[in-house]
Amino acid sequence: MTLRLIAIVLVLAASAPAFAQHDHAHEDTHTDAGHGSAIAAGVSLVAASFDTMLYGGNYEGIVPSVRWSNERFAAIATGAAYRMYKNGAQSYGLGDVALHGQATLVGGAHNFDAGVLAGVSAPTGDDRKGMGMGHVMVMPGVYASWMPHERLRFGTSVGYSRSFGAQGHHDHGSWPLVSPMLMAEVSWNAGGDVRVTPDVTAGARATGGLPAGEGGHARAAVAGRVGLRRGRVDSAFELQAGLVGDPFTVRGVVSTMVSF
Amino acid sequence: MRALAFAIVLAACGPSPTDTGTTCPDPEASPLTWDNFGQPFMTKYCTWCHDSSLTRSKRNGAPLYHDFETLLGVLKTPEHIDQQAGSGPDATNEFMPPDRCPSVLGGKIDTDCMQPTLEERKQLAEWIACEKIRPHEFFDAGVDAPP
Repeated sequence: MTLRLIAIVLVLAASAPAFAQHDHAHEDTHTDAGHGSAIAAGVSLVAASFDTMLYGGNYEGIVPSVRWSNERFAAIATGAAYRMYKNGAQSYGLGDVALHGQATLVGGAHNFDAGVLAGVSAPTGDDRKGMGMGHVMVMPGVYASWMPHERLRFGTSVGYSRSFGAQGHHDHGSWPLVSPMLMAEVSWNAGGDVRVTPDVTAGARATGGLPAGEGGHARAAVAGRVGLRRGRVDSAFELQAGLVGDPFTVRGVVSTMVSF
Repeated sequence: MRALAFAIVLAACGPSPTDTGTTCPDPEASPLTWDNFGQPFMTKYCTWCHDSSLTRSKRNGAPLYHDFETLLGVLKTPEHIDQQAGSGPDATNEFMPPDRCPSVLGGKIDTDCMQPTLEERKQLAEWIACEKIRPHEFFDAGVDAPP
Protein backbone atom coordinates (compact mmCIF):
# COMPACT_ATOMS: atom_id res chain seq x y z
CA MET A 1 0.00 0.00 0.00
CA THR A 2 2.86 2.32 0.87
CA LEU A 3 4.53 1.63 -2.42
CA ARG A 4 1.27 2.26 -4.22
CA LEU A 5 0.88 5.60 -2.51
CA ILE A 6 4.43 6.56 -3.35
CA ALA A 7 3.81 5.63 -6.95
CA ILE A 8 0.75 7.85 -7.04
CA VAL A 9 2.67 10.79 -5.66
CA LEU A 10 5.55 10.37 -8.07
CA VAL A 11 3.37 9.89 -11.12
CA LEU A 12 1.24 12.87 -10.23
CA ALA A 13 4.30 15.01 -9.82
CA ALA A 14 5.66 13.78 -13.10
CA SER A 15 2.53 14.07 -15.13
CA ALA A 16 1.28 17.52 -14.22
CA PRO A 17 4.14 19.46 -15.80
CA ALA A 18 3.99 17.30 -18.87
CA PHE A 19 0.58 18.51 -19.78
CA ALA A 20 1.37 22.03 -18.75
CA GLN A 21 4.24 22.18 -21.15
CA HIS A 22 1.79 21.15 -23.83
CA ASP A 23 4.33 19.39 -25.97
CA HIS A 24 2.32 16.24 -26.48
CA ALA A 25 5.26 14.11 -25.50
CA HIS A 26 3.30 11.02 -24.58
CA GLU A 27 3.98 11.41 -20.92
CA ASP A 28 2.72 8.81 -18.52
CA THR A 29 -0.43 10.29 -17.01
CA HIS A 30 -1.48 7.48 -14.76
CA THR A 31 -3.18 8.30 -11.50
CA ASP A 32 -4.71 5.94 -9.06
CA ALA A 33 -7.98 6.49 -7.31
CA GLY A 34 -7.97 3.23 -5.48
CA HIS A 35 -11.02 1.26 -6.47
CA GLY A 36 -13.08 4.33 -7.26
CA SER A 37 -12.74 7.20 -9.64
CA ALA A 38 -11.48 10.69 -8.98
CA ILE A 39 -11.74 14.04 -10.64
CA ALA A 40 -9.11 16.73 -10.41
CA ALA A 41 -8.77 20.24 -11.77
CA GLY A 42 -5.63 22.19 -12.24
CA VAL A 43 -3.91 25.10 -13.85
CA SER A 44 -0.41 25.63 -15.12
CA LEU A 45 1.48 28.80 -15.86
CA VAL A 46 4.15 28.67 -18.50
CA ALA A 47 6.75 31.20 -19.56
CA ALA A 48 9.37 30.70 -22.24
CA SER A 49 11.85 32.40 -24.49
CA PHE A 50 12.58 31.21 -28.01
CA ASP A 51 15.05 31.92 -30.76
CA THR A 52 14.15 30.00 -33.90
CA MET A 53 15.23 30.38 -37.50
CA LEU A 54 12.49 32.91 -38.23
CA TYR A 55 11.37 34.29 -34.89
CA GLY A 56 12.74 35.45 -31.58
CA GLY A 57 10.77 36.44 -28.52
CA ASN A 58 8.94 35.05 -25.56
CA TYR A 59 5.51 33.96 -24.44
CA GLU A 60 3.49 33.33 -21.33
CA GLY A 61 0.54 31.03 -21.08
CA ILE A 62 -2.13 29.70 -18.77
CA VAL A 63 -3.18 26.10 -19.21
CA PRO A 64 -6.27 24.93 -17.30
CA SER A 65 -6.96 21.22 -17.13
CA VAL A 66 -9.52 18.72 -15.87
CA ARG A 67 -8.64 15.12 -15.18
CA TRP A 68 -10.57 11.97 -14.46
CA SER A 69 -8.95 8.75 -13.37
CA ASN A 70 -9.59 5.39 -11.80
CA GLU A 71 -7.45 2.36 -11.12
CA ARG A 72 -6.81 1.55 -14.78
CA PHE A 73 -7.82 4.52 -16.83
CA ALA A 74 -7.10 8.23 -16.88
CA ALA A 75 -8.11 11.11 -19.11
CA ILE A 76 -7.22 14.77 -19.09
CA ALA A 77 -8.50 17.70 -21.10
CA THR A 78 -6.49 20.87 -21.46
CA GLY A 79 -6.91 24.30 -23.01
CA ALA A 80 -4.54 27.22 -23.22
CA ALA A 81 -4.34 30.97 -23.65
CA TYR A 82 -1.18 32.88 -24.45
CA ARG A 83 0.48 36.23 -24.69
CA MET A 84 3.10 36.14 -27.42
CA TYR A 85 5.89 38.55 -28.26
CA LYS A 86 7.76 37.68 -31.44
CA ASN A 87 9.89 39.77 -33.76
CA GLY A 88 8.70 42.98 -32.16
CA ALA A 89 4.96 42.25 -32.19
CA GLN A 90 2.76 41.38 -29.24
CA SER A 91 -0.41 39.33 -29.54
CA TYR A 92 -2.87 37.40 -27.43
CA GLY A 93 -4.84 34.31 -28.28
CA LEU A 94 -6.01 30.84 -27.47
CA GLY A 95 -4.02 27.68 -27.91
CA ASP A 96 -5.20 24.28 -29.08
CA VAL A 97 -7.41 22.19 -26.84
CA ALA A 98 -6.28 18.63 -26.26
CA LEU A 99 -7.63 15.43 -24.81
CA HIS A 100 -5.31 12.69 -23.61
CA GLY A 101 -6.27 9.24 -22.34
CA GLN A 102 -4.41 6.36 -20.85
CA ALA A 103 -5.13 2.73 -20.03
CA THR A 104 -2.94 0.56 -17.84
CA LEU A 105 -2.54 -2.88 -19.34
CA VAL A 106 0.13 -4.29 -17.05
CA GLY A 107 0.30 -3.18 -13.45
CA GLY A 108 1.44 -4.19 -10.02
CA ALA A 109 3.91 -6.98 -10.70
CA HIS A 110 7.46 -6.09 -9.67
CA ASN A 111 6.41 -2.45 -9.35
CA PHE A 112 6.13 -2.26 -13.09
CA ASP A 113 3.28 -0.57 -14.96
CA ALA A 114 2.76 -0.34 -18.69
CA GLY A 115 -0.06 0.69 -20.95
CA VAL A 116 -1.27 2.65 -23.90
CA LEU A 117 -1.75 6.37 -24.38
CA ALA A 118 -3.74 8.34 -26.86
CA GLY A 119 -4.12 12.03 -27.45
CA VAL A 120 -5.89 14.29 -29.85
CA SER A 121 -5.70 18.05 -30.21
CA ALA A 122 -8.13 20.33 -32.00
CA PRO A 123 -6.94 23.44 -33.85
CA THR A 124 -8.55 26.08 -31.67
CA GLY A 125 -5.29 28.01 -31.48
CA ASP A 126 -4.20 30.62 -33.99
CA ASP A 127 -1.55 28.85 -36.04
CA ARG A 128 -0.51 32.04 -37.79
CA LYS A 129 0.46 33.52 -34.44
CA GLY A 130 2.32 30.38 -33.48
CA MET A 131 -0.24 29.48 -30.82
CA GLY A 132 -1.76 26.44 -32.49
CA MET A 133 -1.00 23.73 -34.99
CA GLY A 134 -3.66 24.68 -37.49
CA HIS A 135 -4.82 21.10 -37.85
CA VAL A 136 -5.99 18.12 -35.85
CA MET A 137 -3.20 16.06 -34.32
CA VAL A 138 -3.62 12.45 -33.25
CA MET A 139 -1.06 10.98 -30.88
CA PRO A 140 -1.21 7.29 -29.91
CA GLY A 141 1.60 5.77 -27.89
CA VAL A 142 2.74 3.37 -25.20
CA TYR A 143 4.31 3.93 -21.81
CA ALA A 144 6.13 2.03 -19.10
CA SER A 145 6.90 2.90 -15.49
CA TRP A 146 9.16 1.08 -13.06
CA MET A 147 9.90 1.57 -9.38
CA PRO A 148 13.10 -0.29 -8.49
CA HIS A 149 13.06 1.28 -5.04
CA GLU A 150 10.38 2.86 -2.92
CA ARG A 151 12.00 6.26 -3.44
CA LEU A 152 12.80 5.91 -7.11
CA ARG A 153 10.72 5.76 -10.24
CA PHE A 154 11.64 5.64 -13.92
CA GLY A 155 9.21 6.27 -16.71
CA THR A 156 9.32 6.33 -20.47
CA SER A 157 6.91 6.66 -23.34
CA VAL A 158 7.02 6.67 -27.09
CA GLY A 159 4.35 7.40 -29.65
CA TYR A 160 3.54 8.29 -33.19
CA SER A 161 1.95 11.66 -33.85
CA ARG A 162 0.31 12.63 -37.08
CA SER A 163 -1.59 15.60 -38.42
CA PHE A 164 -4.95 15.42 -40.13
CA GLY A 165 -6.47 18.04 -42.37
CA ALA A 166 -3.22 19.98 -42.60
CA GLN A 167 -2.75 22.40 -45.47
CA GLY A 168 0.60 23.76 -44.42
CA HIS A 169 3.83 22.25 -43.30
CA HIS A 170 5.95 22.78 -40.22
CA ASP A 171 9.08 23.08 -42.31
CA HIS A 172 10.12 26.60 -41.42
CA GLY A 173 11.58 25.94 -38.03
CA SER A 174 9.81 25.10 -34.81
CA TRP A 175 6.06 25.49 -35.09
CA PRO A 176 3.81 26.28 -33.44
CA LEU A 177 6.02 28.29 -31.16
CA VAL A 178 4.16 27.30 -28.00
CA SER A 179 4.20 23.60 -28.80
CA PRO A 180 6.62 22.68 -31.59
CA MET A 181 5.70 19.52 -33.45
CA LEU A 182 6.19 18.02 -36.89
CA MET A 183 3.43 16.97 -39.25
CA ALA A 184 4.36 13.37 -38.52
CA GLU A 185 6.79 12.39 -35.84
CA VAL A 186 7.86 9.84 -33.30
CA SER A 187 7.53 11.54 -29.93
CA TRP A 188 9.49 10.28 -26.96
CA ASN A 189 9.89 11.00 -23.30
CA ALA A 190 12.08 9.44 -20.61
CA GLY A 191 12.87 10.41 -17.07
CA GLY A 192 13.05 9.59 -13.43
CA ASP A 193 11.97 10.90 -10.05
CA VAL A 194 13.30 10.57 -6.55
CA ARG A 195 11.17 10.97 -3.46
CA VAL A 196 13.17 13.34 -1.34
CA THR A 197 10.72 13.56 1.55
CA PRO A 198 7.24 12.09 1.96
CA ASP A 199 5.85 15.22 0.31
CA VAL A 200 8.58 16.27 -2.09
CA THR A 201 9.93 14.69 -5.23
CA ALA A 202 12.70 15.76 -7.56
CA GLY A 203 13.30 14.52 -11.05
CA ALA A 204 14.65 15.02 -14.50
CA ARG A 205 13.60 13.97 -17.94
CA ALA A 206 14.33 14.34 -21.62
CA THR A 207 11.73 14.71 -24.32
CA GLY A 208 11.63 15.21 -28.05
CA GLY A 209 10.45 14.25 -31.48
CA LEU A 210 11.92 12.64 -34.57
CA PRO A 211 10.69 13.14 -38.15
CA ALA A 212 8.51 10.30 -39.34
CA GLY A 213 8.30 10.53 -43.09
CA GLU A 214 7.11 14.05 -43.82
CA GLY A 215 10.28 16.03 -43.37
CA GLY A 216 11.28 18.43 -40.67
CA HIS A 217 13.96 18.34 -38.05
CA ALA A 218 14.37 16.52 -34.78
CA ARG A 219 13.96 18.37 -31.53
CA ALA A 220 14.93 17.55 -27.97
CA ALA A 221 14.74 19.19 -24.59
CA VAL A 222 15.75 18.34 -21.05
CA ALA A 223 14.00 19.30 -17.86
CA GLY A 224 14.45 19.28 -14.13
CA ARG A 225 11.52 19.43 -11.76
CA VAL A 226 10.40 19.52 -8.18
CA GLY A 227 7.01 18.28 -7.03
CA LEU A 228 5.13 18.88 -3.82
CA ARG A 229 2.04 17.11 -2.55
CA ARG A 230 0.03 18.39 0.35
CA GLY A 231 -3.30 16.72 0.99
CA ARG A 232 -5.36 16.91 -2.17
CA VAL A 233 -3.11 19.46 -3.84
CA ASP A 234 -0.24 18.50 -6.12
CA SER A 235 2.10 21.22 -7.31
CA ALA A 236 5.22 21.15 -9.40
CA PHE A 237 7.80 23.38 -10.95
CA GLU A 238 9.70 22.32 -14.04
CA LEU A 239 12.53 24.14 -15.77
CA GLN A 240 13.15 23.07 -19.35
CA ALA A 241 15.96 23.79 -21.77
CA GLY A 242 15.84 23.22 -25.51
CA LEU A 243 18.78 21.24 -26.84
CA VAL A 244 18.03 20.35 -30.45
CA GLY A 245 15.71 21.85 -33.03
CA ASP A 246 14.96 25.15 -31.26
CA PRO A 247 11.80 24.09 -29.40
CA PHE A 248 12.55 26.98 -27.01
CA THR A 249 15.56 28.43 -25.32
CA VAL A 250 14.34 28.01 -21.78
CA ARG A 251 10.89 27.40 -20.38
CA GLY A 252 9.46 27.30 -16.89
CA VAL A 253 6.21 25.66 -15.88
CA VAL A 254 4.44 26.02 -12.56
CA SER A 255 1.45 23.77 -12.13
CA THR A 256 -0.98 22.79 -9.45
CA MET A 257 -3.85 20.33 -9.40
CA VAL A 258 -6.54 19.72 -6.81
CA SER A 259 -8.20 16.33 -6.48
CA PHE A 260 -11.85 16.14 -5.48
CA MET B 1 -20.89 20.60 -24.30
CA ARG B 2 -22.46 20.99 -27.73
CA ALA B 3 -21.49 24.65 -27.78
CA LEU B 4 -17.90 23.73 -27.00
CA ALA B 5 -17.82 21.12 -29.75
CA PHE B 6 -19.33 23.62 -32.18
CA ALA B 7 -16.72 26.21 -31.27
CA ILE B 8 -13.95 23.70 -31.85
CA VAL B 9 -15.37 22.75 -35.23
CA LEU B 10 -15.68 26.40 -36.20
CA ALA B 11 -12.12 27.07 -35.20
CA ALA B 12 -10.94 24.05 -37.14
CA CYS B 13 -12.76 25.17 -40.26
CA GLY B 14 -11.40 28.70 -40.39
CA PRO B 15 -9.56 29.94 -43.46
CA SER B 16 -5.94 29.05 -43.82
CA PRO B 17 -3.25 30.11 -46.30
CA THR B 18 -3.89 28.29 -49.56
CA ASP B 19 -2.21 28.12 -52.93
CA THR B 20 -4.23 30.25 -55.31
CA GLY B 21 -3.70 27.83 -58.17
CA THR B 22 -2.71 30.67 -60.46
CA THR B 23 -0.64 29.73 -63.49
CA CYS B 24 1.36 31.92 -65.81
CA PRO B 25 0.02 31.82 -69.35
CA ASP B 26 3.27 33.07 -70.87
CA PRO B 27 6.08 34.53 -68.79
CA GLU B 28 7.48 36.51 -71.71
CA ALA B 29 4.16 37.94 -72.79
CA SER B 30 2.89 38.82 -69.33
CA PRO B 31 2.87 42.59 -68.86
CA LEU B 32 3.52 42.26 -65.11
CA THR B 33 7.17 42.73 -64.18
CA TRP B 34 9.18 43.54 -61.07
CA ASP B 35 9.65 47.11 -62.25
CA ASN B 36 6.10 47.95 -63.23
CA PHE B 37 4.19 45.83 -60.69
CA GLY B 38 6.20 43.81 -58.17
CA GLN B 39 8.35 46.55 -56.70
CA PRO B 40 5.57 49.17 -56.45
CA PHE B 41 3.27 46.57 -54.89
CA MET B 42 5.83 45.47 -52.33
CA THR B 43 6.77 49.04 -51.47
CA LYS B 44 3.16 50.05 -51.01
CA TYR B 45 1.96 47.07 -48.99
CA CYS B 46 4.79 44.91 -47.67
CA THR B 47 8.17 46.41 -46.99
CA TRP B 48 7.01 48.40 -43.98
CA CYS B 49 7.87 45.21 -42.11
CA HIS B 50 9.33 42.82 -44.73
CA ASP B 51 12.62 44.60 -45.30
CA SER B 52 16.05 43.10 -44.77
CA SER B 53 17.30 46.29 -43.11
CA LEU B 54 14.93 45.72 -40.19
CA THR B 55 16.23 43.93 -37.14
CA ARG B 56 14.03 41.40 -35.45
CA SER B 57 12.53 43.78 -32.91
CA LYS B 58 11.61 46.27 -35.68
CA ARG B 59 9.73 43.83 -37.91
CA ASN B 60 6.37 43.99 -36.14
CA GLY B 61 6.07 40.22 -36.25
CA ALA B 62 7.31 39.63 -39.79
CA PRO B 63 9.48 36.51 -39.98
CA LEU B 64 13.15 36.73 -40.78
CA TYR B 65 14.22 35.89 -44.35
CA HIS B 66 10.91 37.12 -45.73
CA ASP B 67 12.20 40.39 -47.20
CA PHE B 68 10.64 41.83 -50.30
CA GLU B 69 12.51 44.98 -51.18
CA THR B 70 14.32 43.09 -53.93
CA LEU B 71 13.21 40.61 -56.57
CA LEU B 72 15.70 38.13 -55.18
CA GLY B 73 14.04 38.41 -51.80
CA VAL B 74 10.61 37.82 -53.29
CA LEU B 75 11.81 34.76 -55.15
CA LYS B 76 13.06 33.17 -51.95
CA THR B 77 9.51 32.69 -50.68
CA PRO B 78 7.11 33.13 -53.63
CA GLU B 79 4.69 30.45 -52.39
CA HIS B 80 4.28 32.23 -49.09
CA ILE B 81 3.38 35.48 -50.81
CA ASP B 82 0.83 33.68 -52.97
CA GLN B 83 -0.64 31.91 -49.94
CA GLN B 84 -0.82 35.05 -47.83
CA ALA B 85 -1.91 37.76 -50.25
CA GLY B 86 -2.70 36.31 -53.68
CA SER B 87 -6.00 35.62 -55.36
CA GLY B 88 -6.69 33.02 -58.02
CA PRO B 89 -8.99 30.23 -59.11
CA ASP B 90 -8.47 28.17 -55.95
CA ALA B 91 -8.37 30.81 -53.22
CA THR B 92 -8.40 34.46 -52.31
CA ASN B 93 -5.95 34.97 -49.47
CA GLU B 94 -6.33 38.11 -47.42
CA PHE B 95 -4.07 37.28 -44.50
CA MET B 96 -1.62 39.96 -45.56
CA PRO B 97 -1.37 42.87 -45.18
CA PRO B 98 -2.67 42.75 -41.62
CA ASP B 99 -5.16 45.23 -40.25
CA ARG B 100 -2.63 47.49 -38.57
CA CYS B 101 0.73 48.70 -39.84
CA PRO B 102 3.55 51.11 -39.01
CA SER B 103 3.43 54.42 -40.83
CA VAL B 104 7.21 54.49 -41.19
CA LEU B 105 9.69 51.76 -42.01
CA GLY B 106 10.22 49.66 -38.91
CA GLY B 107 8.13 51.98 -36.76
CA LYS B 108 5.53 51.10 -34.21
CA ILE B 109 2.12 49.96 -35.41
CA ASP B 110 0.09 53.14 -35.52
CA THR B 111 -2.13 53.14 -38.59
CA ASP B 112 -4.48 51.02 -40.66
CA CYS B 113 -2.72 49.04 -43.36
CA MET B 114 -3.46 49.86 -46.97
CA GLN B 115 -5.21 46.90 -48.55
CA PRO B 116 -4.79 45.68 -52.13
CA THR B 117 -7.86 45.49 -54.28
CA LEU B 118 -9.05 42.11 -55.47
CA GLU B 119 -7.67 42.90 -58.91
CA GLU B 120 -4.28 43.70 -57.39
CA ARG B 121 -4.30 40.39 -55.52
CA LYS B 122 -5.03 38.55 -58.77
CA GLN B 123 -2.22 40.42 -60.47
CA LEU B 124 0.09 39.58 -57.59
CA ALA B 125 -0.61 35.87 -57.95
CA GLU B 126 -0.10 36.01 -61.72
CA TRP B 127 3.08 38.05 -61.42
CA ILE B 128 4.50 35.62 -58.85
CA ALA B 129 3.59 32.65 -61.05
CA CYS B 130 5.33 34.23 -64.04
CA GLU B 131 8.35 35.53 -62.15
CA LYS B 132 9.04 32.08 -60.76
CA ILE B 133 9.62 30.65 -64.23
CA ARG B 134 11.32 33.61 -65.85
CA PRO B 135 15.09 33.32 -66.27
CA HIS B 136 17.01 35.48 -63.81
CA GLU B 137 20.63 36.26 -63.26
CA PHE B 138 21.40 37.59 -59.82
CA PHE B 139 24.81 38.94 -58.94
CA ASP B 140 26.51 39.47 -55.64
CA ALA B 141 27.06 43.21 -55.96
CA GLY B 142 30.18 43.05 -53.87
CA VAL B 143 31.89 40.27 -55.77
CA ASP B 144 30.70 39.55 -59.25
CA ALA B 145 28.48 42.42 -60.27
CA PRO B 146 28.65 43.28 -63.94
CA PRO B 147 30.60 46.45 -64.67
